[in-house]
Amino acid sequence: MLQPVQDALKESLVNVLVHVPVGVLIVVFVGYVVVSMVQILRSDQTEFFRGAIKTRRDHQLRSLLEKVKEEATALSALVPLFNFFNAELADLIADLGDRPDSTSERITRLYNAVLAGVTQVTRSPGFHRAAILLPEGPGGTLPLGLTRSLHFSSSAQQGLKFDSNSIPGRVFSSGEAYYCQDTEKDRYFQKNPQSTHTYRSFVCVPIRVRGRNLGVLLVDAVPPDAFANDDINLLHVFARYAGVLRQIELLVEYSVGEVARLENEE
Amino acid sequence: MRTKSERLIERARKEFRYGKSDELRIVRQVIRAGSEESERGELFEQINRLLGKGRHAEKGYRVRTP
Repeated sequence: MLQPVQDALKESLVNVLVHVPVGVLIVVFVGYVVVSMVQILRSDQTEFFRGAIKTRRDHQLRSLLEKVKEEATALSALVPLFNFFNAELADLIADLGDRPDSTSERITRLYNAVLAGVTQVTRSPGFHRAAILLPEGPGGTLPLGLTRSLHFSSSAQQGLKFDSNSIPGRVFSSGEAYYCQDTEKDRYFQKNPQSTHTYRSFVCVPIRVRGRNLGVLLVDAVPPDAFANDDINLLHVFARYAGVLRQIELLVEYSVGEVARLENEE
Repeated sequence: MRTKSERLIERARKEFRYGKSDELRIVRQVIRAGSEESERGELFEQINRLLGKGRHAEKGYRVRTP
């Protein structure tokens, strides 16, 4: 009677002390392997089991490299465009004294080229419109008017004015860029009542020269959140070109006024 | 010898200077010229080699992957 009880006890003891821990260990190990396999498939991890197993993920590195190359190609393609603007600006300054009659037309063409550049270098999709807003108030104060623009309708060109409550007005006053990701959710955005199309996102970059705000560069796009950080950084470069152009324009206006004043005095 | 991209840019500048073309078209022309030029240089050559593209790969050189 005692022997079977002893055997049963011994068997259950072996089960508890050996089989169950071994089973648990096996389950843990298999679970760890399964989780690691899922990690391998889902992540870009290349080392597992504390570096004991190293995998080669060539396809991921290749796609990353393709992406880096694409970015670098797009950026280096812009170098000739910036060289073009630099050369044209240098020629314009050099010709200021020699051929003042053609200056105004060349400034207009360069403004148009800056706006064309803005719409072309913005890589995010979205039928971009671009405009240079300059102050129309006395002594360079608000409101801002749509002085130069590309792809804006003629009614918008004449009717759009931005006062101190508008986003471009705030950018002009503060000198800080503003990215409106979605016009339908932005509490500062004021919809133009005459506008027929909806542009859901836009960027306003101040046109600054030596800490002085001369105007605002505005670019908009149909879809919401259409601009990447790279796009906004590039817009700052174009705003600098617009700033130099505006400075030259003001200089020419001043010298023409001075010449007229001297002639009147004589 | 001038490259194709340099010729394109020079033509764009002449058109701009004499007002022969629309500014948008000129800017597109300059950006296209830049794209032609952009894959020059040692870095791009190395990337192409790693990706198995370009003249080294075409000639049958051993292409090493990272």
